[in-house]
Amino acid sequence: MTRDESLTLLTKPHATTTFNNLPRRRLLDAAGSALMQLLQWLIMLLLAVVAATLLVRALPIIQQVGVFELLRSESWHPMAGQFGLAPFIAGSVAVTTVAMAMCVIPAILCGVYMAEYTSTRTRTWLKPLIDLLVGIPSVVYGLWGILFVIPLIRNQIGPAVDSTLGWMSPFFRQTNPSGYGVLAAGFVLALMSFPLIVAVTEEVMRSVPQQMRESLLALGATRWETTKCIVRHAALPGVLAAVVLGFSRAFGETLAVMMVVGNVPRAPTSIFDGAYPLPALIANNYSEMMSVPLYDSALMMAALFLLVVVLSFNVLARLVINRLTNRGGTL
Amino acid sequence: MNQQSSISNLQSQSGAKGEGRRAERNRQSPNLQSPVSQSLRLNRRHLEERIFVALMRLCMVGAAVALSMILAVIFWRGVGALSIEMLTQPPRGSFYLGGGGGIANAIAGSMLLALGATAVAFCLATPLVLYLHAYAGRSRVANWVRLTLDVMWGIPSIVYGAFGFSLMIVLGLRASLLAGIIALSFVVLPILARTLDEVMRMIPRQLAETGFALGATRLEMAGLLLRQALPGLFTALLLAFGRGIGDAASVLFTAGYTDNMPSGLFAPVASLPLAVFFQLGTPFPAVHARAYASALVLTVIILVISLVAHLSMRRLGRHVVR
Amino acid sequence: MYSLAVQNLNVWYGGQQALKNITVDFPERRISAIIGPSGCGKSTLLKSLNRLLELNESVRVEGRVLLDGEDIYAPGVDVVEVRSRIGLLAQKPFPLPMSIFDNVAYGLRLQGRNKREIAEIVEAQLQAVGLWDEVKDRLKAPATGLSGGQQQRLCLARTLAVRPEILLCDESTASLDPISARGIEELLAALRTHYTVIMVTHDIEQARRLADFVIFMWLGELIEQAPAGDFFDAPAAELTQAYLARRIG
Repeated sequence: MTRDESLTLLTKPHATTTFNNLPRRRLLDAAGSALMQLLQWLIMLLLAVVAATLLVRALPIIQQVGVFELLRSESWHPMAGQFGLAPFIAGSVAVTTVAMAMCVIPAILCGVYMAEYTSTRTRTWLKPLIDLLVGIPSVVYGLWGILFVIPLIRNQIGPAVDSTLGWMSPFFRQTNPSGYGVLAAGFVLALMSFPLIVAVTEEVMRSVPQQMRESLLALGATRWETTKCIVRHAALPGVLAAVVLGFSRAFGETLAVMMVVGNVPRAPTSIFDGAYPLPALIANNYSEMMSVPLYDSALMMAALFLLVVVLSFNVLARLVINRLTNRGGTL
Repeated sequence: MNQQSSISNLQSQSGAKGEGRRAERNRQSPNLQSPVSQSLRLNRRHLEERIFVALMRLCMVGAAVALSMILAVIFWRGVGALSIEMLTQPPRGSFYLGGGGGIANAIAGSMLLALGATAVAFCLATPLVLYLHAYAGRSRVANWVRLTLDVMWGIPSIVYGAFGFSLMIVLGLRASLLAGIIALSFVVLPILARTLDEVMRMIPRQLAETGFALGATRLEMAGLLLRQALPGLFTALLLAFGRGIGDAASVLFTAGYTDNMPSGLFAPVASLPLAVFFQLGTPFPAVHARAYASALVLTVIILVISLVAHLSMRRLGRHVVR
Repeated sequence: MYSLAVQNLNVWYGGQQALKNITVDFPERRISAIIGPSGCGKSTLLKSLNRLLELNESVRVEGRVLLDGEDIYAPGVDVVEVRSRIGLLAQKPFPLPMSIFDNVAYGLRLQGRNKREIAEIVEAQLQAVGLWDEVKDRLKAPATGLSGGQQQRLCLARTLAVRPEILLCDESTASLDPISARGIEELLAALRTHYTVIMVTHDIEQARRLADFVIFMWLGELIEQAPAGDFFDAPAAELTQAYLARRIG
């Protein structure tokens, strides 16, 4: 077949097909669309179902004691029917705060450094490594905490901090010679959240168009000024999202925390105190909760509280992020 | 020539010229920026840069040391107790007292749990994300779905565990592989869906234009999108699988724990993270050593998954348009 | 068959009007060229002809586009059918993520043709665009491995395989090297009498070489439309004269 022949073959009159299969395709399309749309609502329903189930299960204790009393009360005596969640909330807050204080700024700096200051070649092996660290299970981090962090805190950091800062505030006093406590858990959580924040920050920074970098550099900005400008005006929403992700991971982590936090149902007053965060509370007591009245209800209340906190934090962050993106990056 | 346009041309030219003159004046006026003060300022700017770069390097090195120490410690302590018996046999009666046996039950259980959860999540997440991209576009509902997925990602897995436990009570189920898979699916689903969503967002707009111009329906367009996103889908699946295998809190109540090999959907199964945890809970150093070995096995599995994900990106990307 | 006309077409992007009251009757089985400076609405006009503009959510379209006398924007019209009757060759070659053969066969498979027919048409189509001899040994290879010019010819084959009556070309030679661009131009010239071709170009010389009918646009408005001879030899509007003399744009 020559080219001219093929042209005449293709363009011979009435070559246009009738669309005999079009109704079938349209039907398939409609069916697929309906099915997938159903799925879309299902996903949103799923979240609602999780929340509703926990609420229903927590209802008995809420009706008997009241939400605020439950969250405020400090006495935890399941056998006596007293279920104050305050010490556990304090434990969760303390552990997460310590973790975030340790990891947020260094992680962002690392992410920025990876995106702006490393060569493409370095990034090709650094990035998979970070991704690997994101994927390492929490129990491994917890194990490392037991093997390495606990002895370190017990023998070196504890005494050192106690002797230098301990006289200033009870916050730094080594009250607990075992090493298991808020600081250990915070440290482990910080290292767990660290790669996550780095990875997301790096991704966000890389997604800023190269052109912005070039035009800023062409204006005579130093590399650091360029970086600052990009973070402030283009990447801030994404960086914020990264921090929220890190927070969520730290706040809800169960096993790793349980292994190193000491599990003492008392609100911590020093960073060396043992604590008992909410996830650890739920995980430790699931086996006996069916034998004591209202116990399971109290634990479901704790789960519901975790869900509400993470949910509101995420929604809040989303609002801030939307605001940031709409205003072109400035608060 | 059109009058209006020539005027606007002229204006824009004079505007540019005016700015140029102003800049020149700035450069000439000595009290504003003398060469000396400017170079001083430049020095300060460079100093700031140097300080921050040093700071960032410090963070990098610190993190690298800490994180590589994790791997090093796990390898160092784990290798000693690792043996063929550990990998291939379920625990015997005296395992938790230091007797014989291994963690084959936990390895198999973890694999089944993660595989099941990933499969369930795949069946839900893939059509969902395709819908978001082929049909919904940037509609309001699509944004709500994304927010829902983000929130679901953030919800601690212990909460899903508690939810799964409640569900089991309602359904009259006991701790089993099935219940574990259900709870774990909640953990894996948002990870898979959001990762896939990001992958599809990277697909050039022109693909949609090309497909539609050829007369594809939206459903057929979804097929094209899937084809383009195939390597990303595979990576996302591996990532989700890895996350599923490492998660402990959601299967703690729901899958239970057993020393037997997995025997069916309705029987409880063991999992690796819980194996580590329970072995650490015993008072015997010999069993502790096994916990380290179990953690090493878990880490190696994750390592292999990461590696495969990384390599497959290139192999599968043969047809992908960049 | 083959007739396409635009009546009082207005297009808004958000609050901004991109096309202002356009009315054109494209001559059948001829090449019409839409020219004008960048940002004048050429591509918008082109994409409104096969309803690809709808992929952009903030777009609002008013007016009528008549394909064989039927408004393609009328309710109840099947977009899929419209788009299969109007082909588009994009600015940048964009092979689908599949093999060379599958690229051409994609539209045919959608139409539900049988295997033998598909193989026949694909070969004829690749012959027609002059790609057959270059790729016949590697039909199963990924289409992304072809050069830019080859990719664009493949895209043309893919578009024509669906058997459109109208062919839209959106600056289809702009991203190619001169030799490949020349090849595409020759192809289009050969197709002249078989399809109604509507091409957008910012290259006046290309329009002079190829077009039978020229439409000149400026800031979303249609300034002048005329047969190519009249248009280039004796432009009526002042703006057109200025543009052709390269004083503006």
